[in-house]
Amino acid sequence: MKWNTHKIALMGILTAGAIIIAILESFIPSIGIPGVKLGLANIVILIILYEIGIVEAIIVDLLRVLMVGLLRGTIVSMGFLMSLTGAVLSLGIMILLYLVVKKFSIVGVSVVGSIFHVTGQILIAMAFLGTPYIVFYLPIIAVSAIITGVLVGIVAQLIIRTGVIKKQKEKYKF
Amino acid sequence: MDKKVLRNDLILIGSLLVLAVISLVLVLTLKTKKNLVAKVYVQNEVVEVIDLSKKEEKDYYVQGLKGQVHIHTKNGGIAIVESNCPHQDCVNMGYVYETNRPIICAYNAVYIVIEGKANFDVEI
Repeated sequence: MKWNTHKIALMGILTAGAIIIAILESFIPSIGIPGVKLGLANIVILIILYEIGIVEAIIVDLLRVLMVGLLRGTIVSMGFLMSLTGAVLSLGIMILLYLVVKKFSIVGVSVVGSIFHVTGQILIAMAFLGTPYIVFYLPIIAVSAIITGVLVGIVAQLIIRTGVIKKQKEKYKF
Repeated sequence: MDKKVLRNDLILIGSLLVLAVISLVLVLTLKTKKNLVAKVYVQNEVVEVIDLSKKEEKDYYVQGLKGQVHIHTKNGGIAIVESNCPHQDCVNMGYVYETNRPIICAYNAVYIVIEGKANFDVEI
């Protein structure tokens, strides 16, 4: 895994992109449970996972969660832990599907990642608030997660198809 | 895209969607309609039990984790009308008249759950 200056610069831009998307989408209110988000930043994470590398995807995802927490001031709250758990679970399953179970396209991987993301968020919300009643909102959030997952996967695939990242990789040799 | 991969994708997304929609329909339809009681919890402990079938218009003030939460009942429904939480998700939810729709204020660890009276345990 080579990290030359060009790669660092590219990673910086992609991380910033993921952070910006995450902050913008945090202004969209969530249904019923505060803190459950759409997960649009996954577009960037998926592109990195498929085009650059697994370790890079992990780094950018964790950085995104940390930076959004710091920028929005939620760093020690339930919302931050929800975000972190969701990101870890979703990235974990996406890496597993990408590396081991090579049966789904990026759209399928995105949908599963999306579902694991909201499940992680809801589990933390249930643990923190100590109530099982939150699970009533899981069905509607799951439907929205599936739809978002499909859209995110399609957008990521379209961006990958333009070959933007590939050209950067070839030109700067990483 | 490879046909086999596309088919796998469709099966995956299709089955997930079916599962989600079925559970959504269940949550929306399986509910008690009469003799509803609202239970107000602060951090998993019941602090207030309100009989909604009486259709009273009344104010309740509950001490949450980070401040006071103002609850109002009207026409058999209940709502959080004021709260010091930053997102105001709970206030924006408005009045709830049915079971299966908990009102949650995560900031104050206050939540309101509506149940049928049959679930009502008399506590002394």
